[in-house]
Amino acid sequence: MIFILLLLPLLSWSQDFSQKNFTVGARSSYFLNADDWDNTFLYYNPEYTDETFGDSVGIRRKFKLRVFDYVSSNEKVIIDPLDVSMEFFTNQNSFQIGFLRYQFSETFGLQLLDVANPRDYSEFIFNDLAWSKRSVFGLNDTYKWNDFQMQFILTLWPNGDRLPYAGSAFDPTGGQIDYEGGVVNRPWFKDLEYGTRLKYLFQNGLDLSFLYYHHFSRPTFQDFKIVDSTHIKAEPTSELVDSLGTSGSYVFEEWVLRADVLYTFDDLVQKSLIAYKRQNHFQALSGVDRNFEKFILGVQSQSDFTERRHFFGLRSEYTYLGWWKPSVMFFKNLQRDDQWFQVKNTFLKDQWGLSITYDNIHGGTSESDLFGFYRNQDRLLVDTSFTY
Amino acid sequence: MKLFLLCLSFFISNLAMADDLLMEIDKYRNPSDAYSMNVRIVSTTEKEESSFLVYLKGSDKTLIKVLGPKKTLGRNMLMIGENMWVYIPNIRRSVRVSLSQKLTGEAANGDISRMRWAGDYTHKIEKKDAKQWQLSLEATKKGLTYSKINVWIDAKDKRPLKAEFLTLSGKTIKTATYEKYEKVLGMMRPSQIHIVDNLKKDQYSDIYIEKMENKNFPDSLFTEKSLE
Repeated sequence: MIFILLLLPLLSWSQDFSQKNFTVGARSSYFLNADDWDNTFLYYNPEYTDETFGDSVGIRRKFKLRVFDYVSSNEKVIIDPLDVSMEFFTNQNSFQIGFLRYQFSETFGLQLLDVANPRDYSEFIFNDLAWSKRSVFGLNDTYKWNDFQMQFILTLWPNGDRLPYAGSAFDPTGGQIDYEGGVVNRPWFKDLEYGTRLKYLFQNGLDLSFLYYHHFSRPTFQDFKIVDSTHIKAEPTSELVDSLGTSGSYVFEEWVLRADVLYTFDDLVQKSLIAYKRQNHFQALSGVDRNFEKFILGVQSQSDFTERRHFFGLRSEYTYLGWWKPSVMFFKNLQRDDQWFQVKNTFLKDQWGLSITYDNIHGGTSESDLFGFYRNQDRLLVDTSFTY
Repeated sequence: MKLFLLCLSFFISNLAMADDLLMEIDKYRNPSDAYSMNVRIVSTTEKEESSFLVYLKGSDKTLIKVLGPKKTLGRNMLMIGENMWVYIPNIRRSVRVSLSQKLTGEAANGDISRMRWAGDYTHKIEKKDAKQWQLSLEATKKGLTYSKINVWIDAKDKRPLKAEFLTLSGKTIKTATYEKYEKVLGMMRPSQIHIVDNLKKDQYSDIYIEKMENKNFPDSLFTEKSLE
């Protein structure tokens, strides 16, 4: 069935809009303290979209894949369907089936409300959030009535997080425990995830949404099992939880105010790098963005009230020149040592792209310091790509 | 009571007339309630020209798909009422922006996403002569690209000829001329809009409307999901 779905978008008929491109690229991380390159891979991105609108029905087809071909590890090639789907439109309803990625959050950085998709945690917090969201296979129905939207989502294949592979720079066990890493396999048509989202755009510009979702607790932690007196095995957790969330944004002249709140019942809450505890989990984000003529500036506060972690974040992107897009991000725990500073430079010339990102992490060594494990892993991420 | 009803009917008929005139002017740029158009923008301040596919429905729903240049591909835009979202491919997210934010060159997002004046503005006829009428338009709602517009129309057929876009304080920021009228979808329509920056007179943009097609777009198309 999956293969049929993968092929459907390739059938051709007359379209109102179509777009296709193919990107080939390479990524690698250089760790300054270890003086070594790691997590090197090639990637291939074929992307195709088309849409047709008739008198009563419209159809949109998407075929967007990312293929990871690892150079620096023994991981198998991963074919990640980013968005392989068909969407049918009637006047007030759209129904979508396929491999899907959802956006519920209004904020940048950690997108609290985006609970419907697993993530790529192979580089944990370092990972580019635009890259890290992994698709699930399911159905998505959205009913739109004037400024009101109601969305129902049913996930038939939840897919799993991708964890740091064993022996890599980000292996949380440090090679001490029998740990596999890589993609956490989840079976089809078992442990279904589902949820609903209500959204209303008020006349004054306030965009407010409410979410309920039944989903796997993420990120995936490890349960430790004693196999024999010398052998401990780590197994990924598979716990379904329920979340309630709300998200809002409001535009005041050139300022955009936004906030996300998420409450998860009996969640797996991070205790240390891989250990967890079960607790109700309350998190909130609020921020403001300002669009200037040549750059965007965003400031954000992020609080995990359950773990008593309160961060301040700042992000700015220079948007004036088309060929050079520098951006900077700073993330600081207001009460502890944890802090993360990132400078990213993206250069674009015709079909070529080069992106160099420097990540500097600082953190204490106690269990409460989230970034402590990474404090000696400052790195340069180099990404080159060619699109045609 | 009779006097009140008379006044009321006079007031309503004046309102209807006001809308009628703006709707007549709007007809030149909007062939139907729902349509698509291919737009190309050439600007003195941008090295490369930009092209867009624009879906419009009613006066408040617009979806803009970026067709080029390559570096801006995917920066699609959605407008619902006075609210606008832009998809940022780098971070794979849609973010909210204001309608007055620059699209490319001298053209703002609202210049191609908001093609109707009726409903958004009230008008007053400032001057009439045998050739042209001059109208002043005032925004009826907050958040529009321009607070005030001075419009010159042809006295005979009411086609728009020129528009000056003003700030709330009355300062002219841009001037647009509607040029190269061609027969498209049953009537003469401007195929080129020339926009000059009044603060930097040597900077201008030309919006070329290359193709128009009447379409029956569903309401459900105009959501943030369509930006990806």
